Amino acid sequence: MQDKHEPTLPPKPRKQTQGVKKIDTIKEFGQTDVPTVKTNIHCLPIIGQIEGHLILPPQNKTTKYEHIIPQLVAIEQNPEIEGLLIILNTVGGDVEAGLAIAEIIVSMTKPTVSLVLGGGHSIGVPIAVSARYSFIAETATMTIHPIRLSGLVIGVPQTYEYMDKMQDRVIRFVEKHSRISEAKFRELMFQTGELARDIGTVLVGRDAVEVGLIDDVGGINKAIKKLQEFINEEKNKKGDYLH
Amino acid sequence: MILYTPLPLELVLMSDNSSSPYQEIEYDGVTLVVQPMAIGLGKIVQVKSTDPSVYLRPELQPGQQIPLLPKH
Repeated sequence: MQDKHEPTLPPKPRKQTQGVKKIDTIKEFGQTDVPTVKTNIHCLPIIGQIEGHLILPPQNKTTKYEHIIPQLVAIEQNPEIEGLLIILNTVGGDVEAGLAIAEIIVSMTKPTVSLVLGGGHSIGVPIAVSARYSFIAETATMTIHPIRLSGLVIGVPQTYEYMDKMQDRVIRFVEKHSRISEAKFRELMFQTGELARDIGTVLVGRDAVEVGLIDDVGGINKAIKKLQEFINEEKNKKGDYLH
Repeated sequence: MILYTPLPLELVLMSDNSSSPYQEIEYDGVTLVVQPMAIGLGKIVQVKSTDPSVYLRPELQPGQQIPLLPKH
């Protein structure tokens, strides 16, 4: 695809050489209007708690779904963006908001690659598997545990059944979009003796790949390379795509 | 709302009733989390963008001071 989005620079024809363009504009026009180099890969960081229907207290670092979803829509629509890298370092959060983000990523036509760095726990798991290809850093961890019966839903008569249904939504999503089987995922979820305060499993780097949850162990190099491969495949399939 | 997180819920939901000291603003098309410093002046705390090149812009580096218009 041709790079047509470089802003046209005002006169000074002898300085139109590509490499020095940026530095020249700093000198000539000051900092604020520097035409930045546009990248064809955008990066979506998902950090801290995923915030949903309620605003969490300010000590939480949060990723808000009302920010993320329009960004994903914009990425899907912008013809200049050819791929999306999702970086996860999250402690989970709101089930519905997490699933909403995961569903949008899954239904995107643009190539997506996720990379779990640090941690991708709980509701971070469906988000990590929602990308077309997923990576986990060697030292990163993913905690799989049941949705707890405490918290804000206590008092609703159908609580238990409701929680169970919520859990099934997560399990079914993960099973559908990764290589792990439902039985294996449930087994990891209800494992005892792994977590001090809870039942569940902590998967470190390679473990997540071995159980089939994540596709490969790797870092930014592998993730970008994979994304570039997908972008090239996509281009070969359709020629230059405009949507 | 159901929170699905390995963090203890009391840690997540603990509230000291203080409101966030930060403010979210739009600057040159980029969403920034800013800490107000003085009238009309703020310090960048976080940049929110999916465009990696935004993070390379020197005037948008966290810690930089930027003009802050009063909230309407």
